[in-house]
Amino acid sequence: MTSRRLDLPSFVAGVGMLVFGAVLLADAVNAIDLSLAALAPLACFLVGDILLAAGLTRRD
Amino acid sequence: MAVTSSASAPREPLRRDRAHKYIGGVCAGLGRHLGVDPLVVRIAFVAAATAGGVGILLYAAAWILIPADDAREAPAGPRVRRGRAAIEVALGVGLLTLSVLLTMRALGLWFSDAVVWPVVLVAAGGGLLWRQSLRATPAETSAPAVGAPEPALDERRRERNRVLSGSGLGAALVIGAGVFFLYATNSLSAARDAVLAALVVAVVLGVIFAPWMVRLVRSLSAEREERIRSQARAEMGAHLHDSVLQTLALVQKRADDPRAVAALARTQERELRAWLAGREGGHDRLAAALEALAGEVERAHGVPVEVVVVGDRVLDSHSEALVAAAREAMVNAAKFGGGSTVDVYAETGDGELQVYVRDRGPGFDPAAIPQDRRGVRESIVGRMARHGGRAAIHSAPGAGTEVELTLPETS
Repeated sequence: MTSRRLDLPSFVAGVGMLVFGAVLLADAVNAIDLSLAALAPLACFLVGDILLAAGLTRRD
Repeated sequence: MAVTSSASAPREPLRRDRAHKYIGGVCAGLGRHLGVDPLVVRIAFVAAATAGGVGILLYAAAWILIPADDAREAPAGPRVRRGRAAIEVALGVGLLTLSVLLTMRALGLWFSDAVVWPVVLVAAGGGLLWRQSLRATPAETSAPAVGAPEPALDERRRERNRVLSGSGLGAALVIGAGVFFLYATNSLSAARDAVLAALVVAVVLGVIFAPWMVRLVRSLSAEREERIRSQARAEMGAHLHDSVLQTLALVQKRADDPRAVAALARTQERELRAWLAGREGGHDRLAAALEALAGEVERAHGVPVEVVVVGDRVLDSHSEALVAAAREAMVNAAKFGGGSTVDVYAETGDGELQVYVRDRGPGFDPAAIPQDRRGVRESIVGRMARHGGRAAIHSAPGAGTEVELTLPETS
């Protein structure tokens, strides 16, 4: 049985994209009213998460 | 199928770092746990504090929930990521903090744009300037150890460029915060007139005083170079006293034993060659270095040396000087302690590194040491002073001798 390593940055990016897609989908079907004031922190959170995960797992 | 995390190194447990704290040690502890520069964590908390006090609440909660470490076992400093990893972590923390700020702003938990953004910029810029000033200080104020390899010119140039670019970015952020504050409070035009007037005055004063300033700067630079040369000479003198002069004294003492003399000469030759090549010692931790020196003194002088170390730590150039001073104290105790056991006790903690060397010999009057004897004066007291520490000799005729060496810990 082989052991596979979890690539944390990819995992975080994937989950973030899923959440982002779900929010956009909810906006498209008018379930929520997405404004720039709400989109900006979400985008910052998504990119910040990915960068943090990448930095914390990088082997320098 | 087993799935494992790709963490690159085992993390230190999450503890408040009291040895490097400013308030409760939360940021230093988080930084150490994550391998992140604590400055990044501190800036994030300051920025979050401006968002309706979220940062203050989070800090208070962390202070209560995270247990404190044992300061006596604290390492010399946190191991932080460098290079690309450090940039990614800093950007990541910055963007996460920005998302918290924007969320609080959208929710109305907000003081004012004119207050929060300048405070955030000043925290980031001030932190960068503070860090660059700390990075620049050691290279400017202390002489390189004689015998130690000189850092490559390219590396020094890169380090200088890093300091300059970091300082420039920090200054730009602070200036940007000021400009934004003036703009947000509609004071920009009035400030512009004031800045223009100040600029004209500065140019006039600059033209008048420029020659005097240039002379002053050159004089300070020459004085600094002379001080560095003087320190380097003193270090070299102390080293030669501790090694070559001590060996020559032993050679005279054992002149009737050619094999012992040859062994002493070989050992001294190896040590001197290693020192000239900049690879002296070979021990990177305090306990190992003291144990090795104790063995060396025992073999050379035939006197038992007992070593106790509480709280080991990695050696840097300053603590290496402390070890060298301890070696000289051990040699003195072995030579003049009347054959009694030499006790060495080292302790780290409370922001200090302390070593005590004690013998139960006849003792002496420290004030009566002749001026031309360099052992205590230069190799112990002078060496400790040059590296920011201090040495105290407690001795009296008939009461034994204790040498107390103290060095503040550098973070």
